[in-house]
Amino acid sequence: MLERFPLALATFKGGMRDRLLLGLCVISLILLCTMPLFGTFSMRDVTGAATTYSLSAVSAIGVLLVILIGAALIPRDIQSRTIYSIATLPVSRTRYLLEKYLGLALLLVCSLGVLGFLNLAGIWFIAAGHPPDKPLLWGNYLVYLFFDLEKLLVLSSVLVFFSAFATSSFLPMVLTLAVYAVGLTTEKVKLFIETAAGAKHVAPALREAVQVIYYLFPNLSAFDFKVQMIYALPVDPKVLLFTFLYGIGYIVIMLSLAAAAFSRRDFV
Amino acid sequence: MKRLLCLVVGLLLLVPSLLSLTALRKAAPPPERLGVKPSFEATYFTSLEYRYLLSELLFYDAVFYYGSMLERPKERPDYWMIAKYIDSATRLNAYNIDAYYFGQAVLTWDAGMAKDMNVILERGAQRRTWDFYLPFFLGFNYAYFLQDYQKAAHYMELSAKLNPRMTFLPNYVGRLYYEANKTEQAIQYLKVIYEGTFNQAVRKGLLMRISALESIQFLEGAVQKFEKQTGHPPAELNELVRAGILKKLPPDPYGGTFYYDRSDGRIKTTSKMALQGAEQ
Repeated sequence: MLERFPLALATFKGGMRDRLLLGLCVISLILLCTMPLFGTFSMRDVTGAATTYSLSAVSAIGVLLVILIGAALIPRDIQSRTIYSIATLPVSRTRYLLEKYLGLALLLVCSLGVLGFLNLAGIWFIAAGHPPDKPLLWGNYLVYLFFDLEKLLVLSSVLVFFSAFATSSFLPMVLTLAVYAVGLTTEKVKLFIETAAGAKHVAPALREAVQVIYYLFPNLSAFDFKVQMIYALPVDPKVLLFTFLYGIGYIVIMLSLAAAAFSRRDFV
Repeated sequence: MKRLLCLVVGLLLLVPSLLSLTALRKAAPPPERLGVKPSFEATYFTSLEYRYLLSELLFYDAVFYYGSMLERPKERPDYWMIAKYIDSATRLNAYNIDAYYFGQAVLTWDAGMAKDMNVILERGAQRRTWDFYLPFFLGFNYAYFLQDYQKAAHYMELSAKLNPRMTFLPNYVGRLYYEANKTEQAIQYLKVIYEGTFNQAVRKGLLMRISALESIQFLEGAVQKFEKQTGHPPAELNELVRAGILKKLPPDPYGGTFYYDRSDGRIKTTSKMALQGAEQ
């Protein structure tokens, strides 16, 4: 099936040639070895502490993957002038952009799959040795991993959007990192200013600005299901459905805007 | 040859400076190592998706600091800063049982902050609705430190409902209503905490307190025996030895000396069952 998307396949293979999975296996092994160490400092909840550490590490590695691999995808083609030879192929610019995104998404799926599987083994091992007060819900782990992947895909779509304008990988990298930080803070700030204390301390103009930022930037906090996994908390299916749809919607909008900008771009 | 020379120069710079730096940092007083914690708001808004990890790290900082202070019994730990760390850790992650556990083990006993700790615990009990420990802690604090037996019984009942295996709790609740013997309450409570924690530094501290309280309970029994025999309380604990009730007075594991306080008829110790400098 992937043969129908040669550029996506090439992007995926390019990532593999960078020995991405080998590096990930090394990182996963380090993570597995340090997990029990982090947990041993806990007073009561060894599994909870180790799981907190490992899930945070998986999320951080995922963001690094998007930034480090994704930022160079399109600007590298432009800088090395590969884009000219691609332009001679019977492939539209939109298709080129979407296949690049698809290639990156495939890389992320594989990477997170490997990382997630090894991490799951580590958590299972620790939970067997130190059973938590509340037995872990393994379905919640899948929920966490799935939505962490969706968060990375949203971030990748933002990256592709910025890459559609940029000539070097630096600008998309910095801007995506900024969106990542804003995306994880905007909900907290919005909720704060909506409290009585927040309303008292924040100027009305700033409150309006926060509302605009909240709806403009992706709300990445919504994709965070770590706490549900760590403490075996119930997950509301409605929340899952709306988060999933929200993510897909944001990706579609970002890629549409990126395609529109990239189609109008002058490479000469 | 040049490369080798550069490597040697680099190593000559690195190794002695690293060793000196390690020694200097080790010599720094523990409060300096704990550092000044930024406000909760700053921590919360900048924690991105790592607030749960940050919560664990804040707890670890506080527990390592406390562990290092156990090695320096003559110095008073900065309990106020520990309380700030525990408060932030539990606000960043209201499910972080480690932080509640540590705060309860240290802040109530050593720092006399039972009221502040109850505010933190009540916040936690609202989230960890399955956990019997938090209402148990609340119940104990209300009974032992704040003498509010009504609230204590309420939380102990809640705790007993959440963990029916703790068969002593219903009796304990009953005793609370009648303001039962406080030393026994304390020993039972500490034994539950001791069994539930894995951290060796905290276990060491708990064992010390259990041992001190058991000695007090033992002396209370001896005083009662003395009163039965003579019809009056002893002027001092050595009278129990002279009367042949005790062979000798038990030692205080905190390094103090037990004494009989005639004003309230209670056994006390000069160490106040805390690391030196700590307030009761």
